Amino acid sequence: MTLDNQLLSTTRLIGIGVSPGYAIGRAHFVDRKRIKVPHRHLAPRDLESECQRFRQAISVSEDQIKSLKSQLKSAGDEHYLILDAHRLMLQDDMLIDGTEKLIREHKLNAEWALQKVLRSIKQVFDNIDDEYFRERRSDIDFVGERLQRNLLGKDQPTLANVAPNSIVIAQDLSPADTAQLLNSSVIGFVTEVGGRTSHTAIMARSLELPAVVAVDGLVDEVGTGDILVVDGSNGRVHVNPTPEEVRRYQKRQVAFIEERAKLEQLRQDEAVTTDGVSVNVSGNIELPEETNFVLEHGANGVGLFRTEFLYMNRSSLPTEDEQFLAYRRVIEECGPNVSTIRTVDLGGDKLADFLNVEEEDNPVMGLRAVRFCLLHPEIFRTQAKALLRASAFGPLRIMVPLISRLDEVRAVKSIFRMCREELAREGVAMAPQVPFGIMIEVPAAALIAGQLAQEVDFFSIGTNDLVQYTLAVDRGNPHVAPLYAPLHPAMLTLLTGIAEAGRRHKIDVSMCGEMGGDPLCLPVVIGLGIHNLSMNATSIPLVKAMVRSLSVSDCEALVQEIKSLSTTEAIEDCVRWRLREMLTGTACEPMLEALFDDPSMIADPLTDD
Amino acid sequence: MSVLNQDVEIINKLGLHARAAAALVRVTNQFESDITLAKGGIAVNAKSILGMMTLAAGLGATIRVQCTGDDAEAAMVAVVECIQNRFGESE
Repeated sequence: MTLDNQLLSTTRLIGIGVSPGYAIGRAHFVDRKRIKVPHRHLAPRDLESECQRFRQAISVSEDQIKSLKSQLKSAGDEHYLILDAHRLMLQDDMLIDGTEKLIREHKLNAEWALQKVLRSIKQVFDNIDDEYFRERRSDIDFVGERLQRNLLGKDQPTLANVAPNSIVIAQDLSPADTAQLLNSSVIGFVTEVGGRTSHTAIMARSLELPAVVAVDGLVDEVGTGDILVVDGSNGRVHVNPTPEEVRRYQKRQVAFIEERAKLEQLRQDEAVTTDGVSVNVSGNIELPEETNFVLEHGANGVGLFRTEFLYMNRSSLPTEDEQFLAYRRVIEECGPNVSTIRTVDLGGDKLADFLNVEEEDNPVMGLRAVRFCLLHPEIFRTQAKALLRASAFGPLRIMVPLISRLDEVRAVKSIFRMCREELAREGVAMAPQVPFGIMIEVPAAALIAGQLAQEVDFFSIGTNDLVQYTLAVDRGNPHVAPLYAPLHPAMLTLLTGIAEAGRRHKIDVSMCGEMGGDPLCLPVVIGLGIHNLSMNATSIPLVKAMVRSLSVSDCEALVQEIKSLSTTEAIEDCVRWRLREMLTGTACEPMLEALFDDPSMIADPLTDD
Repeated sequence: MSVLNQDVEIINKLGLHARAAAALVRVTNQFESDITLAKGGIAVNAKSILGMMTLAAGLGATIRVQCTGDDAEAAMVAVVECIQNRFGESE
């Protein structure tokens, strides 16, 4: 691959990383020009032949799908079944009768009639609250598009001639598209639309190829032949990267592949230190579907399930039943390991569209999370009841975000108590005890940890926000992002205090912020006595491997050493030095170079709490 | 000519999604009876894959199956069995 693209400017695009890994290759653009649907009124004598033409197009479409299915080997099981569903859609009365009715009664040409029928079917989908089902409307688009192309005599886009090491770029990819790619040597996918549950995401993950979706402006910025770097782990696409960027990503790619291969066998092993201390490593999720993903990466459970997704991108509040199903799903999939579910952190920068909350100048410090919930107890009670009902299906811990006062804790506990009593009166099954904990992410909570520890069952330290609030640094602001430092002496003081309070009052202290998954902070976290960590899936294998290579006593010694240092730089240097020493001669030694020589290996700070 | 009603719970992980709906459609189309599925007051034709997908019945949802016709009994047995066998899916 020659880098003759140096004269072209580099563009950086941002999307949602839905399948981790890195790919460097040439773009293969799948261009679906929007079909212009002709609108004609027909003469009465032409209506029958128009219906015939329509049925003919259906037959051609069916044959095409049959042909695609026959090309699949059994590895395409998922594809086979979805294409089969598409075939059934083509035989569906709603589609056929609906279209022929419009042709005959309104004298429309077949393309127009079909367009109207598809629109009305999709309208029903738009009103579905569940994101996963709503995404299935794209299946109707794909089938509809195939039919329209056949009616208009246009070719179906083909992916048969994709060059090896291509990265497929499209507005969106249908199961028919990806079915054709199974036996090719495509190395990554990027689409302009889509989400975590869209077809592209599901297929990319099962193929273990990097993919980024929801990339605004993709179709305008990229053309076939452009060189691309796809960063599926962080949701970035670099178009015509500089030679230096290419080198950097090649290193990451190698590290990723090596790490994955090496850690395949390690990930199922327990995370136990060399001196026999068990460290619980769980996963953070935002959607129930991600439970499997974190478990596959070796998680001991779900340490943080952010429930906001249930309230976003919809026009009504989630019902108790809906919530109950989502929680039960996670709890059951996780079982017998523990799931920790966080009550909704609404408001701030995650406002749900329909709640008429006044715009706040500083939403992050405003009416959100527990404050919002206590002011809207009916919303909170619905969630509480759903959680209590779900507790009957496996080990559950409930935690509440943004606590800053003891009276908040008491008010929340009181609400849960009342909900429990109501459910008990109705004879609803619940676990007899559900541990109730709080996030420590507000400095005030950290400073009164001793009092809070006496009234809750556990803490979970939300380091992302705790560091931001304590250092008054907005991670998302590039001018000050470098000042964001989990190893700042003030943070060490706070964390020590929190861990201390936990020990004194005998409650579990866990950490669900990024700091627990950051290799360079891990020895400090362990040394502080925090042995219950939760992080995103991709960090789990490395953290487990590191735990197995470290000893708690060395980590504790490190913490004592850095307590006497007064600057962040000195602390960070000391930690790096000691960690290097600790990992030399262990299974993690090969990763040392990646960890220390390339600062860009550290997780991108631009991710949410 | 009989009209039968029965409530069934969806127990497969992904609910009544495209693949599951396809499996069910293949079953319902073997019978003469009219077969509908209803959830939350909305009823759809169980011989229509599109109709069933719009029902958006996820894991844990209870749907009411109604069969009307001469082979209603056989149809009901087949439909209920299909749903209880998780539409042939492993989970």
